[in-house]
Amino acid sequence: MRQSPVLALIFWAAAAHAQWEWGAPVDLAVPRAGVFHHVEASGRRNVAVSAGTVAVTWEDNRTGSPHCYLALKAPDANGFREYGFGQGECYEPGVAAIPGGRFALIWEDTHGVGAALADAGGIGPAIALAPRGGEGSLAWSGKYGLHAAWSSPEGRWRRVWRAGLEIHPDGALTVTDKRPADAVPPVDDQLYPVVAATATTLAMAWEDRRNGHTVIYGSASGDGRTWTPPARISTNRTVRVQGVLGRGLGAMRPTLVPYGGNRLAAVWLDKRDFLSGYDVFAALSENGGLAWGANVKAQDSFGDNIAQWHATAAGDSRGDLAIAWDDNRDGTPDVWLTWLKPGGGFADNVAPPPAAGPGSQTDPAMTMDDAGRLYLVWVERGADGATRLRFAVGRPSP
Amino acid sequence: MRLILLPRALALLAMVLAFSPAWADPPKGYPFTDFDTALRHARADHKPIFLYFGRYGCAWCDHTNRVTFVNPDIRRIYSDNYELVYVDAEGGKRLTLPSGERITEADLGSRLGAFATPLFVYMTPEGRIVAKVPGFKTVQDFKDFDRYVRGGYYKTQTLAQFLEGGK
Repeated sequence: MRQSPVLALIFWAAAAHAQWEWGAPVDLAVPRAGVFHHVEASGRRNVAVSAGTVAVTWEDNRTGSPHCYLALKAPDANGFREYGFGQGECYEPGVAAIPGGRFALIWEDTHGVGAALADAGGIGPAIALAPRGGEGSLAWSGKYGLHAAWSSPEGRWRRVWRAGLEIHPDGALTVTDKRPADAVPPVDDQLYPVVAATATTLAMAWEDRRNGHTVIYGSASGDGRTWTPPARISTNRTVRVQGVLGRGLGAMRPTLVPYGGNRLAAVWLDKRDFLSGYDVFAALSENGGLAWGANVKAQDSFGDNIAQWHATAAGDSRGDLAIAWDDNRDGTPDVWLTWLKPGGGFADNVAPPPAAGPGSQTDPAMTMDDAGRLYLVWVERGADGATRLRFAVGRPSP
Repeated sequence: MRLILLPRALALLAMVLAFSPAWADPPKGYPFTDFDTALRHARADHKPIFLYFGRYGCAWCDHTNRVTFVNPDIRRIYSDNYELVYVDAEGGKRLTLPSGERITEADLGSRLGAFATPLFVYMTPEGRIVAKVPGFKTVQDFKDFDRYVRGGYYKTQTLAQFLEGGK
């Protein structure tokens, strides 16, 4: 969004849009020339809140090579406290909330796919989920405990896996029931899985290339043990006619978010309108991912003719659901937000004022607490290309 | 025993590769490589870079491969004179930009402002973008783009100006 700094301040102060009033943004890591921050966990699960403590994960190259970091902010603390984790080069760190101010971390490093618990006392011992792979995601279920999903190379392809993670009283983790998401060996890549938990189900989604183009597939479990066969969530059409060029339009980088009871939203980037880049699409489930409703475009028509990137979503137990992404409809890249309206359908898009304005604001990740507060993280990039990792909280408007 | 089985294994591998559904991968017969390798070679050899930003399942990529990139002149011009990079628009492989920033293939799309595939990007040996061309292009188009880049016309005019000016 291009606007003068003065106008931006006036707008920001007054504007608090209909849904959230935003606090001032803060830097999560010290900006420095030549240091680049990345918020890119599978499903964009880089922010979590537990018992009022906020956790944010990212990767940056401040030491000269990519490493993973966690920042924690206790409810009564003035700022974040930072921890490093992973062995050697570390990528795509993700986080999930566990009750009691604790968190689970997942990442890719030189030892493969790692996971550990974290709290204000630091980061616990790491376990290896796989010797090779990445794109990890975690979810906590009050009924089924902690679950992980990731992808690993298997022969020519990558395959999506899931596992339960048992939490021991001393903070150690052990892997239970590690299985491929699809029992049938892959015939093409399975990528970027995400796992989520609703009141009574566990659900997964991932990018699947078995049809010759990318399609969002999903699977769910109503008992924590047996899972439905993988099935399409995205309805981007596969062309099977002999001689026709290409096999279909793309769909990528899914995320899943519960938003009360067994309601679950799947959100992804979708290329079915192939002339204007990716659009943000969503599908909703009333039964925790066992069945899905129609695919709907989440962005409004002002974003139709330009590309959207980095879609993410957050929900709460009250039924609130918000979706964010970045696009440059106002001239420069800003973070944009929509939400599910009480009567159904998605609201007109707004750019949260702290994450809009001159320069580039991209790569949002967010979570929502049970009071409907939105915790938003994004990457800000100035004209010199250097990045800042930013954080702001949006409180529901009265 | 191993020696006896080897030819069969190789034949099986060839069949698997021949019949596997490689939808809109880079065109056959070209020395495409990854982004970081191409940038390193381009600097060392002072060659421009030709980046093919394609998508798995992309119909127009498939069409360009079958109609344009099969042309022997295009194969010779681009293989001999460019460092060739293929980037999967939805891929997660990591690459390092000239700035030193490490990003993924898919994120390169957001940095390039890509809205459709295929997208063809021409860069100097130092990695500076001098032209971006989306969509299906003919043999003559690629010959014109080559003359614009290797002829150094990009230093004084845009690609559109070059094309309008009678090439």
